[in-house]
Amino acid sequence: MRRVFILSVILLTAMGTAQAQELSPREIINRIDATERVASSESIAKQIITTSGGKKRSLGIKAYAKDMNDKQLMIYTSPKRVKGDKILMLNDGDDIWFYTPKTDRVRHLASHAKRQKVQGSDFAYEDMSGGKIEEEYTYTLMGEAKAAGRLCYKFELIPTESGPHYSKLILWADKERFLTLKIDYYENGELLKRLDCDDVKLIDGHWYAMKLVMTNLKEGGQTVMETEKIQFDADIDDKVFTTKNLKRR
Amino acid sequence: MCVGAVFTVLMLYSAMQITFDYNYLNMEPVGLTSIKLQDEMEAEFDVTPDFALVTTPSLEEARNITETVKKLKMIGMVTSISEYVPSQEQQQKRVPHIQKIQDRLTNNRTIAPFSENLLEDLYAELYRVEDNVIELAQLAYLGGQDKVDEKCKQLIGDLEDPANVTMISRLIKQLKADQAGTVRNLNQFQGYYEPHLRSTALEMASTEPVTIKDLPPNIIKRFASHDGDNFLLTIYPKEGVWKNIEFLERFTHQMQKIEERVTGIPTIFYILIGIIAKDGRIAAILTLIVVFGLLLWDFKNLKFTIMAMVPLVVGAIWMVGIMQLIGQQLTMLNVIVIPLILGIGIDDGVHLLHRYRVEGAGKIGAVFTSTGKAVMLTSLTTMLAFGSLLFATYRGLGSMGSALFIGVGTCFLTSILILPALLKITEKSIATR
Repeated sequence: MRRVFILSVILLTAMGTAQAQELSPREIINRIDATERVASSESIAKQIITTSGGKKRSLGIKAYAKDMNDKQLMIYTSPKRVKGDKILMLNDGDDIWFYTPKTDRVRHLASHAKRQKVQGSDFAYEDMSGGKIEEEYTYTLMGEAKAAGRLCYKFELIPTESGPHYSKLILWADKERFLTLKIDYYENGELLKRLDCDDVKLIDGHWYAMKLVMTNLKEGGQTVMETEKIQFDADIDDKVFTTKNLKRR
Repeated sequence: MCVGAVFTVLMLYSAMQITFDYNYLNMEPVGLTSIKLQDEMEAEFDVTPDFALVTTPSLEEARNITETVKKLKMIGMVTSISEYVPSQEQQQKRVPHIQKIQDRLTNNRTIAPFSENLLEDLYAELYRVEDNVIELAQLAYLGGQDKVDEKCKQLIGDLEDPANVTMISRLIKQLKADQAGTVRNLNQFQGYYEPHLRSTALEMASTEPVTIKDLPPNIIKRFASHDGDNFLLTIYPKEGVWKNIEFLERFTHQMQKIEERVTGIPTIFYILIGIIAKDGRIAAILTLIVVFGLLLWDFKNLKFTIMAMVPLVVGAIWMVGIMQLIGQQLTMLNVIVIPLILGIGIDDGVHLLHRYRVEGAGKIGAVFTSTGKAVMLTSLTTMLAFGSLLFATYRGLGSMGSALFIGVGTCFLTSILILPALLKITEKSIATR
């Protein structure tokens, strides 16, 4: 009996392993997209940037996202100076608007702003927009490697015409959870910055990295985005993602 | 001997913690005005006067390098002749717009006087400027752009202060207080200003291509060689390159990637550090080898040669360990004197051992009583001579003096503390045999 049990365990493990090994690069990418591109989310986060004067500045943010991050709204909650300031991103970051209650005006930022850094952080707007890997990159599975202590699939991603402006990305995705744990961003063949995803938690059935650290390897500097609370598949009205709504208090 | 060994191990541990001071400004006298000014420049303008220099044979190459360098976050400013001469492509794109401006300036010569009806429009425009600056300040704050934020504050004040009234709001209030006067003054201003503005604008609205030859001579002189075959770019880093070796390294490597033949104080200094580190190591090793060789030739005995070398090596360890303990770093200047310390420090051991060979075994006391005194005197005088450099205002010389003072002192101490113990052990081992 015990022999049968052991054999069954061995067989099942082998089958499971074989099944995992059977996943094609496309299937893996699709699983990653499925894990990361959630229908909607509502979160409270803290972003720590380094100012040009070398000071650390902590910004409190309440964020809403919908349609696989195609629509995003960030409302600054702290410090007092920026309380009520908002940034709206639509069309995968192609359109960005800024609102401050101090002027009660909505300002459309220039289109090249997408490639610019998000408010002094080392994240670019296009890093935060919710494009699908399948659509924005051609990819090659390089094998397996460890990142953040987890065994990962390692991919080389080359942006397509519609993709971001980087020349190449190397992405590590958790083999079990299909969640990105690390990305190296290259520009003109040179390693530009690195994203490390830490403090991974299972929330509302979604694996999510509560801490994102973007390190600018070329010029120094680091931005940390810490999510304090997040709710997935939240019911968010489309009206939230309108320029009209920006003025609403 | 045991105490000496333990102390040596402790000093070795301390010596391994010593760091190199890459900041050449720390070599300069304290409170130097030029350095204070340099720090102020960095604080106020986000540029430092220690720049990289690149020459290119063509305007287009100057333009390409300028564009590439400007994108780097570490760069505060780039000055290049390409800033004064737009590319042919840019100029062609602008021609239709310039032509339009030219036509409007030529055809619309009559200017309507300013009236009270237009005042509300003026106020609205001023409020719009105010809002623009406020939004700019907010975006700058969110973006961590401290300098931009500070500049905006000069116009709009502290937005967090409820009692704050912006400069623009104060201006509008002033204009509203005497509307008739405002109109009168604006018309007077318009009367003076309009002809000058029109003629300047017409002059600027030329569709003729701009070339280097159109530039003023003082601009050309700044950026072009006499024969016009080479152009100079000056690249200013945003922060001081001397405070942080990593930044100096990054800046230098970045500049070298862009142009292999880059020069400038940061680049030269970085290369110099590398050369000094490499050559310093080679010089120290060669000194030890030569000293060893000479001693071997002199003593014709390996045991005595090693005994002479031991206090030197231990003395050098003690020297670096003590330097670390008293908070001194290695510098470009005190690293250079290490071979000198090795050459001087060996003397004590050599004199003592020669005297021992003359006196014979069992006469350690006599050796150190007589030759020991002489060695102490010579070491003290050498230490005092080099130690006088400690009082130099140029701190680089001070660091040299300090290293020499400590180095000669520790080599003397190891000669009188460790050498007798070594001789004793040698005598005992011979007696045992």
